[in-house]
Amino acid sequence: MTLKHQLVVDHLAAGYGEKTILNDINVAIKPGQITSIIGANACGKSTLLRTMSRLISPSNGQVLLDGKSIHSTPTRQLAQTLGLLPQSPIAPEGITVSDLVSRGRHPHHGFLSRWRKEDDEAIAKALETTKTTELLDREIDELSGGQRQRVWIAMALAQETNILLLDEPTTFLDVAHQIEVLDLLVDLNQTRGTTIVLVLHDLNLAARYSDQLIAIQQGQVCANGTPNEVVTEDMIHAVFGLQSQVITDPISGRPMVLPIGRHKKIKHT
Amino acid sequence: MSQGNAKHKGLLQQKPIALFVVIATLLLLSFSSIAIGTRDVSWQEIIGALQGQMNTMGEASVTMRLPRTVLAILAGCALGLSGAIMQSVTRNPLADPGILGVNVGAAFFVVIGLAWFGINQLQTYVWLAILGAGITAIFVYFISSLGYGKSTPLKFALAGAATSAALSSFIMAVVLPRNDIAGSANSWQIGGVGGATFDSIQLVLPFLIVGFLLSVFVARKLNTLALGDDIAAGLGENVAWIRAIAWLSAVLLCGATTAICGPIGFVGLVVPHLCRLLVGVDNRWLLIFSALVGACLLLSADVLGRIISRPSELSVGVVTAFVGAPFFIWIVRRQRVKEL
Repeated sequence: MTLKHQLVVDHLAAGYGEKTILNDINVAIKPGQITSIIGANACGKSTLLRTMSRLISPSNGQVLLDGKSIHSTPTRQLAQTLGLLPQSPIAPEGITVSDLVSRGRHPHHGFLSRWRKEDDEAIAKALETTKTTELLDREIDELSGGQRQRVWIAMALAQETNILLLDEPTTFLDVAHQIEVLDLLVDLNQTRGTTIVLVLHDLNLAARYSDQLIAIQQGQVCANGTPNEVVTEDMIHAVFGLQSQVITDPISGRPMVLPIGRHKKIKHT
Repeated sequence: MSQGNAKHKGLLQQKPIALFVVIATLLLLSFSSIAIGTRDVSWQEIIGALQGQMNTMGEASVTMRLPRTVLAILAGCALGLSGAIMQSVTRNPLADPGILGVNVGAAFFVVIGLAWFGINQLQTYVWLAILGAGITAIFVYFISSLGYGKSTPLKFALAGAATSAALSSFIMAVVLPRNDIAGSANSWQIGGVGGATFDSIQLVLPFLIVGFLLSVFVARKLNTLALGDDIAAGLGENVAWIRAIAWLSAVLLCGATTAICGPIGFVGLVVPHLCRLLVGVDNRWLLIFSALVGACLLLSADVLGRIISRPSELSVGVVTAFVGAPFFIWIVRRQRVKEL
């Protein structure tokens, strides 16, 4: 996978039914990098990710993969380049890890094609990367939240796509598991050169783990650039309506937001 | 090789054995369905009848049992498969042609045709039954997705039960004042395979074949749908398209079966659950096993019905209800009636 695919959002407008949520969005996802979409609740960040993965059809504009609109590309062909992990996938009762992960190979198979050696290799690699090989025979229901999320990521990896979109992959996980999942994504990005786009709630984790940040405010791009460019006190105020102080994260050297509320402040007299 | 490789194949290794056992059971049951009945027959008579002779009363009864055996196999396959597809598409453990009222819907259309349009040809029944099954399936699905939130297993079963009850009353209302059609209409109230002939089987066979073929086509795709609509789309499938094909397949199968047998409940409910215990949740295996085990269940119900009430017979629909009702309660009472 030396070829880097290019994902571009061009004058995009989208929404649910009559309601428009996104308005004239223009962004280019940098190939081979990690991009996080951030913003307040209901600002349209999930909608943007869902439109980029063609779960939602745009009402105007388009999403281009290597110059071609993804909404007019054959879905199976697209699924070989563009992978997706939605927010709440469903695991059928009693499904095993090996069965679940092997379903990630679906787009590489036609109606009558046989199971091939590269399928087994892709699955083994996905399990290895996500450290889930020893869970192979377990049922999804009996796993912890962190393990389960790793298994879902393994399924998306088995798909072997150059671009991977993830909708809030760290929600419902405790802080240790959040770091584990994000580290895993960095591994993936570094070893396979996978372009990763994710929606993240936690600003500080987004700033620490991403190469590019896209801040969405009321359906429009408010800021787009490196964490250093995007995470400023002014931007936080514009996007979240929150006073804050931005300092340098002593661990990563990236910007870090300290929110300022009405209470719990040291009194300077 | 990696562990992943070994384990993945290991799972599959046991399934051919299970498949062999089920097929052997099916053959054994087919034989008993030919051999056992209200009249005792000798080996010579069975062999004679299978060669096409009709010299003794015994040979004649065996010849009569042939089409009903074939029909029981076909209907069992169709109902088991149809239930498995419906449960997969709706991710609902309670989905079944009977519970969703699809069978009664088919019967309702047939009775209307009998009573008001003077239809008395099986060919037309089949179309009416499939139309009725389709419309009822869509209606129940629509009703259950009304109101707050999305369609849950419970809402689905309730909508189906209510529709079933309403349609059954309609059927009664239509049939009761009409002595002339009461006899033929009654055969739709209790499902049975007793009246089967090869001619009638031939009429529904094309519908069943199309239904079977569609199910083969859609099986692997249902595996992606099981992980949620978003994942299925992410894996390159068109969700609406899979749903439509799968529903068409399920409706064809149970509609055609109902047209010839009348509503037979619980096979479509019980069989897929049993098969999920046997072979897991991979739809490619689940659908094959549901078809075969469905045939086994219906055959044994039919044979049992002939034995327990000698010298008369009990319809399969009654026998499957006796087996299925406790099973239904067991599923509902399980701690996790969650989405599949």
